[in-house]
Amino acid sequence: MTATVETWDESALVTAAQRGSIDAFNELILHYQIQVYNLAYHIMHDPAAADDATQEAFISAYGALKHFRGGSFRAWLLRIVSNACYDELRRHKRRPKISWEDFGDMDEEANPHLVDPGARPEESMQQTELRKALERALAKLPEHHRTAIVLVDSLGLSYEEAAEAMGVALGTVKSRLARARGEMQALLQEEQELLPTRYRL
Amino acid sequence: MRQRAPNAVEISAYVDGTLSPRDVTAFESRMAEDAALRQRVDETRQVVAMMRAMPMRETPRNYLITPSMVTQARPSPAPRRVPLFAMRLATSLVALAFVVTSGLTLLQSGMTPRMAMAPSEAPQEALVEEFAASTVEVEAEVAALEAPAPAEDEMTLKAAEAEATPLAQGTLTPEEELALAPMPAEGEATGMGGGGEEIVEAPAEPAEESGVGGGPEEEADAAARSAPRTETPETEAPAAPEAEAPAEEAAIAVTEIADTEGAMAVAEAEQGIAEEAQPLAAMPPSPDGEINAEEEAPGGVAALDVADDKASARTLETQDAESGEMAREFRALSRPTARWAIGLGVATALLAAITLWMSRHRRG
Repeated sequence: MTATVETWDESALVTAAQRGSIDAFNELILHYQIQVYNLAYHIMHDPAAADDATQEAFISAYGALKHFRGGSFRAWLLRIVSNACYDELRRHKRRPKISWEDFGDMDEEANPHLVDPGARPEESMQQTELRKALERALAKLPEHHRTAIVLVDSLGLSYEEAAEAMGVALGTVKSRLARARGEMQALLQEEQELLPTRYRL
Repeated sequence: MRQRAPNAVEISAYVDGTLSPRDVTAFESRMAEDAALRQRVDETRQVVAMMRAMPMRETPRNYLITPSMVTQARPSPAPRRVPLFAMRLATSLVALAFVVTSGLTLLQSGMTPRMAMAPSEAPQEALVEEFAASTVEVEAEVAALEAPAPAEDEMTLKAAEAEATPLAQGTLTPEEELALAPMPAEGEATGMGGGGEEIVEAPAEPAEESGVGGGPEEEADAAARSAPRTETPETEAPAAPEAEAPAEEAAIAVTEIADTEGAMAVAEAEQGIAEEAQPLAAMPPSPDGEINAEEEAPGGVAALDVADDKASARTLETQDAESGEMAREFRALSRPTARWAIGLGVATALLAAITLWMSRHRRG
């Protein structure tokens, strides 16, 4: 596996997975699972729901590999997970349930996955404060705006990849992203005191 | 000419570096003149910086897939449709079978209520018929009790004459005379069952002692032989040797009592047997029951038997006719129902088997 990291060849792995190699697909999963999970989390606002959606997305992706016709595999994968999340959100609207975020400050203590044991305490605290402020602001954005800003600014996708991941035109991505940034700026302005000093607007 | 103010999309594109070189030049010249635009660009850059600085969440686990997960996750919906359709069809057929059977049953009950009950309550109906038949028999026996009265009288007179003759001739001893009259006691014994064991024991002693269980003549002989040892007759018939006429009357009375009680005892015994729904002929002859009564009062019992036979024959004929007619009607009505029910049951079972096989086949 260490050799595959050094000689990362996404297209070869995708081809092998399309031929039925689960090991090759698992290599792709290990490479993209953090991004897939984070997108799912920002769409769902619920770690457990994001967990389920991520697993379902990978299983669905393996089943749909024969339909992948090239391009950005990451964008294709993120589109699967975003669609799964939107479907799940629609089901949630029919039968709402309590989100993890509804517990507020219990978040950090209750979820050990959020704590980075390798970080220094002060830096870790600033990172935690920043993430919490951003997540609160992101949660207030419209779904498509939130997806656009997460895809481009957080996950680092290009406009084209984001357009592919969202299944929309390039111009739509640009406009959604611009609006999302403007809304985020306004929301963060309201929470200046909660932001780390160096990130205050 | 004054340029228009850049919108949010152009600011975002400028921050991302996606504007064309010519647009970047124009944007920067505009920004140099517009402080508000510069501030908006700075704020957008800050938001992007924060978003890029936002730490990623760690995944709670690895999402590696296994072959079993893949096979579970890829159930094609097409194979499900056929078993589902078959199951729906089977369910519909079962419901249809239920409705048809219920409807036919209701139709039958509407036409002939007794017929509708026949299949499910045949044993009960048989018992009811047996009870009715036995009731008819008992009625016939009661009628027979009244009908052979002259014969009984004749027999009684004959018996009285036969008994009175030796009395009148004075050839019989009181013990012999009394030995001739165990009939009332035996009649009671046959009719009352266990109601009078003392009465049964007392007159039976002479017969037992003589070793003969026979009729009055034999008993009389035996009693004559064992006269000194007989004790009970002395108390039962002390006035026997007084005079001819009283003796004759007493003999007639005793015989009449014997006849009446014997016949009553037979009627009661038969009624009891009929109530238990057991055929009279199937009963084993009791040693001290009907046989003794017949021996003691052959004329009355014979008349009873004749009446019994006739009544039984009439009852059986009526029963046969009714049951035959009912059976024919029932068969005529139940045949289509049975065929329908069997056919639908077989079809349902076949469909269920096909469904089960298909579901297992698809799963496998």
